Amino acid sequence: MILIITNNEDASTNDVIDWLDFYDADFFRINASDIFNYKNFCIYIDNYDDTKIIINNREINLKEINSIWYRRWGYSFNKEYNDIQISSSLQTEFKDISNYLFRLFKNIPSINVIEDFQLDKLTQLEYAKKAGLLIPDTLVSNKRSNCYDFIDSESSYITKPLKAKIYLQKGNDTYLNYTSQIDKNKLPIEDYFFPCLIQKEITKDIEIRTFILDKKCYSMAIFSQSDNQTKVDFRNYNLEKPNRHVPYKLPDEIEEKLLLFMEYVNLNCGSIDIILSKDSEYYFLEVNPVGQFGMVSIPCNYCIEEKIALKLIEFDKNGK
Amino acid sequence: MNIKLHSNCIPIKGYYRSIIIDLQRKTYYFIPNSMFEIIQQFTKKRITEIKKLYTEEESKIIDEYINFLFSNDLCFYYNDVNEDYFSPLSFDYKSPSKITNAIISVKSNSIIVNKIVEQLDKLGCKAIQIQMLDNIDINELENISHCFNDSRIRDIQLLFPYNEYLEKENLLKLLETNHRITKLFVFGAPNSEIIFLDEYRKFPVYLTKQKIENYSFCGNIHPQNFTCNMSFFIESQFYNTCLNRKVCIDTNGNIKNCPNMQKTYGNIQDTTLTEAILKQGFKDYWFIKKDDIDVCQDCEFRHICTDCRAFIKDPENIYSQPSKCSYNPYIAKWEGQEGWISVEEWRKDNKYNQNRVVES
Ligand code: SF4
Repeated sequence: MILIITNNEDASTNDVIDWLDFYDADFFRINASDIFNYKNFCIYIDNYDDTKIIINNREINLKEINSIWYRRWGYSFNKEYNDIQISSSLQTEFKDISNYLFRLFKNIPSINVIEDFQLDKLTQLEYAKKAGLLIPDTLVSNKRSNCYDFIDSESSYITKPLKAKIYLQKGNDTYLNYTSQIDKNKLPIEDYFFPCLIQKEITKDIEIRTFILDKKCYSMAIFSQSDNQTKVDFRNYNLEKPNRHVPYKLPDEIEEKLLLFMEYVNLNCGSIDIILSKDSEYYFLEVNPVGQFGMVSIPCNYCIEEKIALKLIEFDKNGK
Repeated sequence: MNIKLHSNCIPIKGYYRSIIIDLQRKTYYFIPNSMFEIIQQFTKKRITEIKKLYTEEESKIIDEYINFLFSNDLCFYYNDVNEDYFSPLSFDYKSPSKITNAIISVKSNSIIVNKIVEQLDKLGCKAIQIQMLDNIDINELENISHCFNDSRIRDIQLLFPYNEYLEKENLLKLLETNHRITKLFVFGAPNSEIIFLDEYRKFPVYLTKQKIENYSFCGNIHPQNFTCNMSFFIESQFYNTCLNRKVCIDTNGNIKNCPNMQKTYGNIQDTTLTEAILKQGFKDYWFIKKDDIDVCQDCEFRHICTDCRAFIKDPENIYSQPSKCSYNPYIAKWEGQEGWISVEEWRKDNKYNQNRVVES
């Protein structure tokens, strides 16, 4: 049987399930919310019998599961409790239950890994470099003078969070910590501050999003507007138009390096952000193991949904 | 430097003029056939080389064409280094649904709907249009929509006759609680208009004065009914844009390709939908694509136009043009436009060559 681990509002899950149905696959879906809502959930451990697990009203027999897709897994308690302390305690409890479940499933062939095992940005860069890919120069430091020296005046630099997405609400204002350009002369005046990540900005020709599944690359080029504008000055641009999303085929050599990278970081699936620079070099930025494949699959007509379904079915067959 | 059209912007040549379909932004642009020819050369030659083949006057026109392409963001410059990497869009049509859409005509009860929802689900059907011929009240509408609560159908359109006792608030409640219902069409209304059930104009109701006793109102070919998107375009390459993976059940329970067609493939009382679509002949219409159809194959709209095989100009010829189409692609005019003549008249005057005029 195929086990799908996801959240109940995830539309991409439905698209893959359509294909699983098409191929008459044997699958069972669990949503993170199934642990809290009005569906039977139960883990029973005693001195005599094997552990018994029920999720979403159904008893899970580990021997039956040959194939797992870790799509998403998360739940927000903030809405229900509106109290940071309560919701963070509940979050910790939920994490522990999840960790227990995922440890049980650990040796079953799967697509993706669960978020907790994901690699930090710096390790990703190191492995990308080891695989022969170009990466942007990167600094993480708490010392002003280090940052000042790192930034040269010829290039532009950006800062972005290593991982945490911060969403702050102060009065009527909202603060988000997205990627932004950084100016050498506008660094904080303190000599020491909380460590931050600074990266040399690659002047891009186009962005590329590459979805990798089972040693195959599905790439899409993203033309950003401002970029086109500088190239072609005789047009008046309508800003309401979305960026162009079109199929792209990376050079074989780059694909091989990306696959080597995936091997190093032990991922069989993920979405990689790449920049093609003005001087025609490919730069690795980061991998997102639970990336939205729909945003690549649909505009490029790659039908990745079917490919995911077929891979899950293959795992299931091999396990029988 | 060279120019390339984005691979989701696709030029389609018609007899008299062409269009470029922008599949991402879901729109299309008219272009002259001379521009189509120039675009074809982009793949082989640099702009400077292309211009050499033309006079200076013509070169100016080429510049205008290029300007047009850039100002609508239909093309881009690329250098030789990454030239091969912009791959064409695949025209592979893939769908996990054995049936993608269904039309059911019912006479004032939800029993039949109930019975077939499960069957449609099994076939992977995602969209359904339900036509109710008899007067219907809000309870019946609710009953029908409840039939879909556990199904995977994502898009339900309801057609029913005007009934002055149907309250706006009740209809709004119906739509707010059933997100799958995407459209309401009301026939025999006092006025033809679109009204909104809510202040945010999220829930429109389409009213028409026309009365319906059957399904013969369908099949009109009009630019308003053109569909400009990727899945439609790709399906149109190999399949019929109306009948592919469609199943219909008429008021008598007969299973058909289209409510307006005579041939039935069994009755829902004793035949399942799965059995019916496997019967010989059922899928034949699915494969009649626009490129096979007389006149349409010469028309620039052939990959955005919903076909009709029920109402055709020559009932003896299943490959003839839809009879509810008043477009003449040989002169690029709709009936009513100045200078319009029918395709038949045009062909008499122009010794129409039976072979296909436009290469696809
Ligand atoms: S000629 Fe054919 S393709 Fe063109 S508008 Fe009429 S029906 Fe559609």
